[in-house]
Amino acid sequence: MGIEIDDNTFRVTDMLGVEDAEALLDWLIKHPEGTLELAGCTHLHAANLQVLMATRPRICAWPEDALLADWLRHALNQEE
Amino acid sequence: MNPLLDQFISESRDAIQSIGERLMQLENTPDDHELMDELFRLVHTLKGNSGLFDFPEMTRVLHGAEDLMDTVRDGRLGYSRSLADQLLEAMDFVSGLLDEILAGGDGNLPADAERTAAATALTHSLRQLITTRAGPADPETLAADPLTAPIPATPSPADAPANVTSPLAQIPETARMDACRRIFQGQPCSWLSYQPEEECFFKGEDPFHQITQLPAPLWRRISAREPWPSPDTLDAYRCLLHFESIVPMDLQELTDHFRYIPDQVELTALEPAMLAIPIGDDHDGIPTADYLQTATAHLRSGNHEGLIQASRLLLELSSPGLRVASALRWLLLVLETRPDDVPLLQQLLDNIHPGVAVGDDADTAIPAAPSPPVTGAQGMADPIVGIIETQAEILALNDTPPWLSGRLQAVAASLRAAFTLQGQLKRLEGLDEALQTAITRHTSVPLAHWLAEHVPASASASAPVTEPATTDSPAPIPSGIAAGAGETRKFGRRMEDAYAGPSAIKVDQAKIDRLMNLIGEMIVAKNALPYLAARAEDVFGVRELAREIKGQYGTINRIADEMQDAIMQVRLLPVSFVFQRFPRLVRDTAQKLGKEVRLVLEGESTEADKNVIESLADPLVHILRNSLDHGLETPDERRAAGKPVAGRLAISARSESDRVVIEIADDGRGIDPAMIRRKAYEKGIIDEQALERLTDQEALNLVFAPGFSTASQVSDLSGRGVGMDVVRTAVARVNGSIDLNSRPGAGTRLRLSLPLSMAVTNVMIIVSASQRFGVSMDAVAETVRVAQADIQRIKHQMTTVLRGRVVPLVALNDLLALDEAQIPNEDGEMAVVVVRIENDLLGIMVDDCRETVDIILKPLAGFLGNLRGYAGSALLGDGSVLLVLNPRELL
Amino acid sequence: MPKTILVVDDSVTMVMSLKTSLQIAGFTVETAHDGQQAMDKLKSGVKPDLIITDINMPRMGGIDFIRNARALPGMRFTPILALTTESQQAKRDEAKKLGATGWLLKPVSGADLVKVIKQVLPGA
Repeated sequence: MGIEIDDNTFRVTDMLGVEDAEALLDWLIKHPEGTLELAGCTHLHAANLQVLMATRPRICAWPEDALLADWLRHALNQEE
Repeated sequence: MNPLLDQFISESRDAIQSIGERLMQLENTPDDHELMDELFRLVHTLKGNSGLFDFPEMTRVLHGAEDLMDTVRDGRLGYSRSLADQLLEAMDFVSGLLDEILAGGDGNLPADAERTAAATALTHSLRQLITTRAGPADPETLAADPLTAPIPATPSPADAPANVTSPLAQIPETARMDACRRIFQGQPCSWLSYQPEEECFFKGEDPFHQITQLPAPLWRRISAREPWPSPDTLDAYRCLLHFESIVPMDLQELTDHFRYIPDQVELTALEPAMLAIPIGDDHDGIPTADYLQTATAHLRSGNHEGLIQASRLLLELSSPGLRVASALRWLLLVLETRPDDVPLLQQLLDNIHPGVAVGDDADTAIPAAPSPPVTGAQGMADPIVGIIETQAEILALNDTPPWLSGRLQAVAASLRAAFTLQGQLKRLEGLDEALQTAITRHTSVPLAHWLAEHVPASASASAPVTEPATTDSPAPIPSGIAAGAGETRKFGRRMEDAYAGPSAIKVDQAKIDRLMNLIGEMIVAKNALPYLAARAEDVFGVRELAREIKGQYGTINRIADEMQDAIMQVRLLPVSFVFQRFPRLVRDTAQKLGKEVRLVLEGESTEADKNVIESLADPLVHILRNSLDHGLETPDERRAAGKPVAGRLAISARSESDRVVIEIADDGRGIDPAMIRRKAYEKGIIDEQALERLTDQEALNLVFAPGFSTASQVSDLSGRGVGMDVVRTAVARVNGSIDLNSRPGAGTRLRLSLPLSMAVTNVMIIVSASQRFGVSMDAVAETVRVAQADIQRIKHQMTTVLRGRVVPLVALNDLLALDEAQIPNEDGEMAVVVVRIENDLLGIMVDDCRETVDIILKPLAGFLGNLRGYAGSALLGDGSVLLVLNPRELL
Repeated sequence: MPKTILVVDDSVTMVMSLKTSLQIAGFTVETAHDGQQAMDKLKSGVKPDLIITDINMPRMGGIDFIRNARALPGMRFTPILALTTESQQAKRDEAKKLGATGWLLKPVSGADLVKVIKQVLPGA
């Protein structure tokens, strides 16, 4: 849906749906050093959330949506 | 009116019709579960739809009907005639409301006290059936579903003191204080622990979406229910998430938010006392004894300032990491915001007491259960019953708060105390085991079961969770699950239901009428072409053109014929349209008369024009009533005559070439021709001569004579001032005929023959006294030329012989009271139209017979409508108006 | 991109009512008059973002439909709402057990409908 991948960056531009969780997990397995850019992410399905929690990827941009960003930071123990 | 309402009314009418039919069918096969399911579905749909509009009476009655059907479908109540009666009555009521809504035109149903009263009464009697008939089974079914126990809006006060086991203690003090402040400010806060089930994604759930929709929490933790597997073994679709948070939300709102997954969440309305948990290290070096003395004195005397100062002082002396410091911070918070909350302040002071360890032992910290009041009464004294009932109620709460085990222990303690006080120690058997099971399984159910089994039903009746004491299994499966399995089976069967889906579209009557009118005009316009051809040839002398016009006419004529035929097809309705009313009619009528009748319907799919079908309705109803009332005997009479007790009434329809034949036959007492003769004579319908001369068949036909009624008493049913003559007239109006056959003692058979269609009439044009008239070809047997010499006069009646049969002749001019003689042709022959009236032939002498044309017959309107001799008028292709004769009425 | 919602109900009135409300709220609406027809639609490539289904229907009822729809690969995660009445607690529980995401109580007002859909359908 709202995914753009270039080289080592997985960019979420919209919603990350439940069907995307497998793609995200695959990509993270293949790119252990990959970076996630979530600035445009408006929501991600819980399946993606647990993929992130289990893989702890590097996140270069948090969602612009403050509420969502807060939740993700808490989930990934990266609260400021 | 809006399209939704239109749709609703049309769909509801269909549903009501089907409900009637299913009920009739159930009368024969009361155990047919598929029928029952379908009946339920129909009522259910009807009720659901009615809720879309503001028709409270309709919804109320349908709700009652739905509940009744639900009871029947579940097998708690058997099908019965009185049940069918009630349901039919309810449907009649709804049907009446639909009529009212339609008549109102604006889709509103103005309030009407009488109607409301009727709806209430109707609903009451529907519900009465449920309670009186299904009564004994009811409590069992109610009690069998512990899962539906009402959810308490707020936790009972018993929950509050159990905070010691609360997971809240792990939350940082600042977050708890924040929540506490908000609560003091009037913002309700709740504790949420949400552990989605592992398979929840496969139910379309997105737990994270559920969580992010809530307002930003005051505290949160997202964890996994087990350590995260390594990425390459992770199953992204097995949900391991666990969310915990303090949400600035009312418990009710939060409960509502998670209404689909109550079993996956723990929700608790937070109170300051739950949050004020001092945490930290113990330290004996703090001089708390003096402080406590001062503080307690200040608290008792209400000296808040003194208490605040003493507390601040001690706080400064204490290291912030100590539990004492924490308790003091809480104390100060409460003093700042709710200085009057003495119990809370006292609770906090108690925490400072060096001897009291808090927060580590759930069992000892449970406050003692309210001690049962001492009573001298024997047996189960009321206050004791009250205590037990209260415990049952507590067990019935179907929440699972973090402090559930504390609650369970408190309940067990109360019960133990209650029974001990009663000297009924024996009753306590198994209590401890039940308590242990309950605590291990983290549910109240085992304890609730124990209670249900060990106390008289009256004491625990108010607890919805208790199971009836019919099961002695130590851990019975909640019967809600068993009921669920039953449902599955039912639905398995439902899949095979015969399907009667919409294979047709509904078209507004007006649209078909418009098509009909258009094809009518087209036929008339088409008929102008031969005139045009004639003019081309005769007036303008262009033969070639005349021939071409005729050629074109042939083509247009064929297309118009086909089109007319196609439109006719659209107008065809199955006779079931009329027949479907009969089962109910026959049933109700027979019931009133105390007769037993078996109705047999055949050929319901036979089709005829809508107008014909509709014109059949009233005559058929009358015929049926006659059969039931006069034809069929009472069960006793039948038994005496050696016939089956239940009479047989058969209605069949079939098509015969271009006509529909409908037969109504009963095996009743038949009609006695001698009796008919006598009565006809008594009523002056026939004279003495005729009395002798009439054959039996002719005598029978007298029942169609105006003013004849065979019933010696005017009954409530058929004797409504109309006789069979009215039936015959109605049938004749659509060019139909009716025959009667009867054998005394064996039964009566009526045979109606009707045209398939009556919209377009094929008429022969005749000329008389220089005017053109039409005669329906249906009535014309043949046209002949009769030499004047062959016309004989017998008495005053002109006759002639046609193929060996004497046929009476009349002059059309005489019939029409035209003062002119009929004109013979050049060979001195008279043109005679031979018409068939009933089974007799009559020759009508006219001046000339011309071509036949298709016309759309329009009844004469206004004063002309009284001229019975004319069937109507029609517009001809040349624009002139043709009057169409009705030979039967002319005579 | 507007979300597509599949409405399954044997009552034409109910379908009409829901469809109107949903279209006003900006959804694309597909309809079916029983579970069987809905299955046919799903198999023929209609891919709704959410399904609303009645329970009591001829041919294939809502409970069987939910079970069958969940078995389709494309419908594994699709939110499904069962249309029920207040009194159908047992049916709701059963529907939930077989894979329904939630339920709607008839009669459904337009506002309630949109509220519930927003709750179960992210991005609606």
